[in-house]
Amino acid sequence: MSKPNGKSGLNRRHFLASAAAATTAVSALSAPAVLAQGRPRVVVVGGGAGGATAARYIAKDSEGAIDVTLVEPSRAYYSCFFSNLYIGGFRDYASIGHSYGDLAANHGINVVHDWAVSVDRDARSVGLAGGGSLAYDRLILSPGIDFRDGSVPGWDLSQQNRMPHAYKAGSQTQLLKAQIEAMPEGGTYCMVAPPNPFRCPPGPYERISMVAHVLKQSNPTAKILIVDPKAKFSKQGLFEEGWQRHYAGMIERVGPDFGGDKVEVRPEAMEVVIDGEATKVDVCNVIPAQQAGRIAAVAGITNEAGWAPIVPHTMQSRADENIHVLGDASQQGDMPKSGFSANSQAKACAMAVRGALTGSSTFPPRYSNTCWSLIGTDDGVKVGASYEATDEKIAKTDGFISKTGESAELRKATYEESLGWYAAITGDMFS
Amino acid sequence: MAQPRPRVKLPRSIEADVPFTVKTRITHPMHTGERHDSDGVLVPRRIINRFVVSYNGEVAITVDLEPAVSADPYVQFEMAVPASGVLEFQWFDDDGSVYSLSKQVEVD
Repeated sequence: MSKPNGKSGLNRRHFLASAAAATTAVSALSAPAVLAQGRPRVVVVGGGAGGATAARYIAKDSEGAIDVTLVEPSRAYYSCFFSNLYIGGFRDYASIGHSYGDLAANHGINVVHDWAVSVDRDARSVGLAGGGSLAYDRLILSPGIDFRDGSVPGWDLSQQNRMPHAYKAGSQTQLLKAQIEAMPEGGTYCMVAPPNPFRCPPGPYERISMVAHVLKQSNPTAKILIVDPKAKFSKQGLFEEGWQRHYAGMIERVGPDFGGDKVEVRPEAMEVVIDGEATKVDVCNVIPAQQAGRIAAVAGITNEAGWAPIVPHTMQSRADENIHVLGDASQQGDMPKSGFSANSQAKACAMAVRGALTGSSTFPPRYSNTCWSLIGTDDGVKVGASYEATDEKIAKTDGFISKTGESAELRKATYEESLGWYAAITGDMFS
Repeated sequence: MAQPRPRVKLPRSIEADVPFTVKTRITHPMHTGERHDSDGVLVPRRIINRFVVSYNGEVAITVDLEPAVSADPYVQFEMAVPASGVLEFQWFDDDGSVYSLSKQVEVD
């Protein structure tokens, strides 16, 4: 943080801390200019695991001292996490849907259903597609991911109904499930898996498990083809063991050793071309390469790779101290892009924002993540870790992962743990 | 069980009499005959027991596979060819099925 006028050794954070420690009279006199104009304003863009959690914690913990606005185009939130379980028939669609109503009713958050389309960093305001604008003292961007144009030749967003990505949950997830259920007997489901880094590292492979689970019951001679540019993937040993146990002979993964990194698609012909060789498929689930949600690039805070680098202690953008970036869109270090990570980062961010705007006390953040995956009925696995903020990055301190050959009881307990987590995180976001 | 699917990967360009790497794989459960299914019933042995590669009709390599070979057997080897021709790959299943794939080799 820069020193005001370059002279004083007192920056704003120290100033606030000392003001908070001083007598009431002094602290009232020394309130920063932004406070003098009324309640400090926080605008949160994106109502997912990062944004909804941050908005809720700032509003709840500041007890009305901070004016919080949440900008989210969708009126209902369908969680990406557990959307694979909907595809697999383990959850119904309504059970992964959530409303923003309680955030307004219980915490006084101003929920604006609109798209944020511009950020004026000098004026500190966010422009909305509907024409209005929102002024902020702190802006929190939690826009998730967008897809990189051209990463899978032949595919663009105009093809998403023919070849769905289903990597932002909602109607795309419903479409993919319907296509899988309509496959001809003995047909082929193909997934074009994304290159690193991407949202939910085990997600594509949990989805494969869920698709296999459905097809094994309804269409047992169907085939599953994964075209993957990566040599390795998350929890690979666990997934491959489970696929062999539950779905032997059904799943083929073509990695870069067999041309999985040289893929194009032909949506009109429903063909996948692997290293020059065309294969006809019945369902093609294209999960393209990813980057931060577009508003992060519009704000000018992304790097060449398309992600927004952040300061690990506060989740502040490296490019603008008035902007924080959460979740998938951020480039923070060792944490995977997951709902759990975004929720964990949001709490650290909320603490930092309240500290900066109201002088409340702050502590070194502790981050954590767990990614559960379901391979078959009651066959849950997990990987997770704890993290700390260093000057350079959010750094992993210790981790754990399920083992191959675990008992059915342990796998069932792991799955049940994930159900508890789902209830907890969605409560943490929306209650 | 879904039909086993063979796959072969050759280099982009091949020169006459210069060794190149051939990568092959077939999806197959390779049941050893020792495992029981979830109902406790012994799963009968069913493996790919033999893999043969021919070049213009002449056998280039024969591989005998055993039950200890893991699922989706992967075989990689080096070979050289004197001129353009056809490589024929054949996998022999315990159940009598033969899965085959051929690749045209164009020498630069």
